[in-house]
Amino acid sequence: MVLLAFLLAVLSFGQTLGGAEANGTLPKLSLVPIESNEDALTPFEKTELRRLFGLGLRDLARRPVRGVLGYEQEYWRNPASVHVLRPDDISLNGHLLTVEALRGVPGMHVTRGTGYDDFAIMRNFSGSSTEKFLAMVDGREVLQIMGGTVNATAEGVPLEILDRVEIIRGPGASIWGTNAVSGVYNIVTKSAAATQGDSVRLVIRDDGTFLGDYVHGGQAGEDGSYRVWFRDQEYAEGTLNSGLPAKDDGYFRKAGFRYDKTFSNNLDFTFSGAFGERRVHHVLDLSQRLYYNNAAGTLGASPLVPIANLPLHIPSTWPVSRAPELSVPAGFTRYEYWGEMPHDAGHLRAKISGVTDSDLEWSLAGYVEQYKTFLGHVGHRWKRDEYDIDFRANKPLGDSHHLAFGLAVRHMDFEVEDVVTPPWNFPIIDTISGTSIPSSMVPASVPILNYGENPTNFDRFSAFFQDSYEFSDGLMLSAGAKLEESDLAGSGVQPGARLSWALNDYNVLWSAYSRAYRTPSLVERYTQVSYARIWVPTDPADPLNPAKGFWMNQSFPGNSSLEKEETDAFEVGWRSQPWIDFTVELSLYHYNTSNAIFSGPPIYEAHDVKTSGGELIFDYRPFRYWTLKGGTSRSISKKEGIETDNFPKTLANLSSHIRLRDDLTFAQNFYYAASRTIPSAYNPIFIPAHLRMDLGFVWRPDESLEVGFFGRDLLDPHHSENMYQDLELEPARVERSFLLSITKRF
Amino acid sequence: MLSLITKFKDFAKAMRFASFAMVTFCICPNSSFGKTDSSENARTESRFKAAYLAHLLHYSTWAEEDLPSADSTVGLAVVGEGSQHFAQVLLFLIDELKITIQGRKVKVFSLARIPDADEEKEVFKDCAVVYFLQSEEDRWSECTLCNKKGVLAIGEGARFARNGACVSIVRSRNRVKLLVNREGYSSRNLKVSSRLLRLRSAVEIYKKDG
Repeated sequence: MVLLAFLLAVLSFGQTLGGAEANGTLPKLSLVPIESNEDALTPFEKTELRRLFGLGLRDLARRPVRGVLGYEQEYWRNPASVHVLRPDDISLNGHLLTVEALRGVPGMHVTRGTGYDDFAIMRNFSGSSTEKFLAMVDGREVLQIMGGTVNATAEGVPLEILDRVEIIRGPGASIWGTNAVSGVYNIVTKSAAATQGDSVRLVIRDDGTFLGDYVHGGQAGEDGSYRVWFRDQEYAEGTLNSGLPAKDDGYFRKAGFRYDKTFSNNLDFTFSGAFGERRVHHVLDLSQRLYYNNAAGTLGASPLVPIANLPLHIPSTWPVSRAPELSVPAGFTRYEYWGEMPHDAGHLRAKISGVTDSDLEWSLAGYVEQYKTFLGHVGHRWKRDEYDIDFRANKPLGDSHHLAFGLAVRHMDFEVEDVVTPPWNFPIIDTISGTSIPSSMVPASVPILNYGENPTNFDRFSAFFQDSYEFSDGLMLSAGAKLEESDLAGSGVQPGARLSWALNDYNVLWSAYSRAYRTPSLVERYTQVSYARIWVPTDPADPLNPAKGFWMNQSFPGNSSLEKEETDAFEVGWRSQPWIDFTVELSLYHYNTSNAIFSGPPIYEAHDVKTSGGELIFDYRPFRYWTLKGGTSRSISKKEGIETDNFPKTLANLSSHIRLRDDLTFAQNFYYAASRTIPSAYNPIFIPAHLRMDLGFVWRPDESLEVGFFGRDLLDPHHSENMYQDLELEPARVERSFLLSITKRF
Repeated sequence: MLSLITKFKDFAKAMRFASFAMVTFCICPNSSFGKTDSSENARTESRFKAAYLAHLLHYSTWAEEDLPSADSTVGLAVVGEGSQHFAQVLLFLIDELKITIQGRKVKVFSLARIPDADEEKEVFKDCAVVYFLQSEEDRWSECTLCNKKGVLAIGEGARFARNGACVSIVRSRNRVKLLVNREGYSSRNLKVSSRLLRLRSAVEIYKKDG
């Protein structure tokens, strides 16, 4: 009711103001002095003017006057819940990496696993897979189809070359396509011409974690420019919840380049690439992967007892990886194995774009990528070669239509190898996946993950078409569909329709319907997971004798019959700007998902899930020296009618910046996440509600120097946020930290 | 439409509906629902042009002797039909960004049309910038301001720069760009920044023979 009353008040306020328009008459042939008139321009127009001027001439010249609705349309008329992060949102808030700044996006839940893993999820609606949205860097998809996750840390770019991060909450399937289910985020880098000269950014945290970026840009001929950049990130070792070392230290190094050339006034060419290597370790907690078959009730009522309490049964290969005598969880000795997790990746991108005399704007882009990694702790190695070609075009037709269309082809080759890791390397009796029935009585070694002989080549063809139609100045409809034929998702049509209605100069309503697909990951579809081994005593008279029994494998298979997840999404939104320094936005959504995939033994299951929620967002500048931004979101998801708890039902954030002096800013940030449970087949972990407070000062004596000092997570010494479910048993601590950042441009 | 879609239980039916809706949608006439040519598209274009003009002031340099004393204001006149709206757009940017011309405050004026030759000198006497809207394209050649020193003459449409103005702000290929006439600058004792001229994606340099 309060919300409704507020909405009505703002709507009526807008209507009152809307009536007062400037209407002077021009005296002939004498200059009419123009006086500042608050009502001559609407707040939306003023904001848009600020934005256009802020682009700078180079970017202004590349911006279409009439953009594609829901894609590059002016922000305030956009019939979607859009959020844009700028470099200042990272540097002024004390974030090390771009992915951390997503904490400031209402509706997004960003969590830290180990020191090098940040997970971002949006508008929870199904399952325990970490990411069900489309992540892109300069239009290149970076969602890892093997595990259905985004390696957000590794996809980061230096702050100096970051132009913006566009976040679209909700499906944008008709343009973006498969996997743009709960949303899209697209990292957009600056052109090479915009990063001329040299710059260095150094960030150091009190625990020793270090980030260094160097960017150099220059001219290459009369119409060309280039840049090269290097990044070095060193991870300090963190601590697990139990106090044991997380063994997550290591490094990540990356180098990139970009070359831009303007062939003529209307033909642009870009060639860019990046290459990175990461060397870290990852721990596999073995403590609850060996069980004693207690069917006879020898050790109490539980049918399965973790073997960690029975050291005699621990295989001889294990003591080397045994942790200090600490108990995790209480009562169990922790055994763990850690292995190297190298990651080597590189990609090249070439794009040519132009605009014809008839205003047809087009681009043709090609991507080549190679990604290699080895999850040493579970013995899973894979290499992916990927080739993409993407053609897009759009054209205004008359005053009312704007067509957008495109075609894309993608080919992926995988090489997958699974090896038995040392602690797992002892003979067992294998079973038929998903059952306890022995497949053979001959003892064998079985890897934790086994991709087997499943397909390794995947193609995808897609095409989209969208038309935006302006019924009047205030009413616009955009409708379109994406057609895809894919080896992983089959064929399908993803239609979408979005309507934007400017009620008056101060209020816009929008609504949307989209059908979106998500492709099951290769792990979900094809990989057998041997998650535990059970000691089966053979002598009932002597059940605890390690010499009298055998180990039996417990595994669950991938599910190659998994269909693509299909979501019907309904959204409505209201955006209001009653005056230039205050914007408020409300977005409500309902998702109806079929075939939502949930991982965990005994099989990967598909369920029907319904999710409803919304976000309320505001941006307010009460004084010229003080800005406030924030929002809150609420999301309720029901799997087969039962409420899920793996996503915080409530999220909120508040960001305040007070300019103490022209060169000194005091930043305060608060992030709240309600409680949730990390899903796990072995030990679901309850994460209590958490409020985080970050405070910091940023000193900018001139445009070439910035120094920031931040205290992060100041309200408590540490808390937990996330872990790799089903692979780990406890999360790492997210600890209070202090951070110094220095940026210098030469 | 949403409620209609939700009623479809069968995917194929929904697809047939979507196809039909899209075809119907695409053949909607451009002129339906009383849409006028001006309005939002024109206002959007005005915002782009105003942003360009605000940048352009930064990239242009006047000889001090052609400007009034340092503590005076200088005039910027917007001339043509609908000049008052564009002048308001410009004024917002100038106030908001505290834009000055070599340290002097800028006062924005509007004028309905190019004055006759005998009135012109008097009307524009304190103006350092005159921005001509497209409506004045045909009368531009009659304007003797072409020769006045210290006046940055800018016009909407390529004909202005071709006929002697310093800069044209041109909409072409769904973009807004600048056409700079270096002779137009030098003949008025003005200088244009080489940094601006190097922005090839935003600026085209007018050449008489080209």
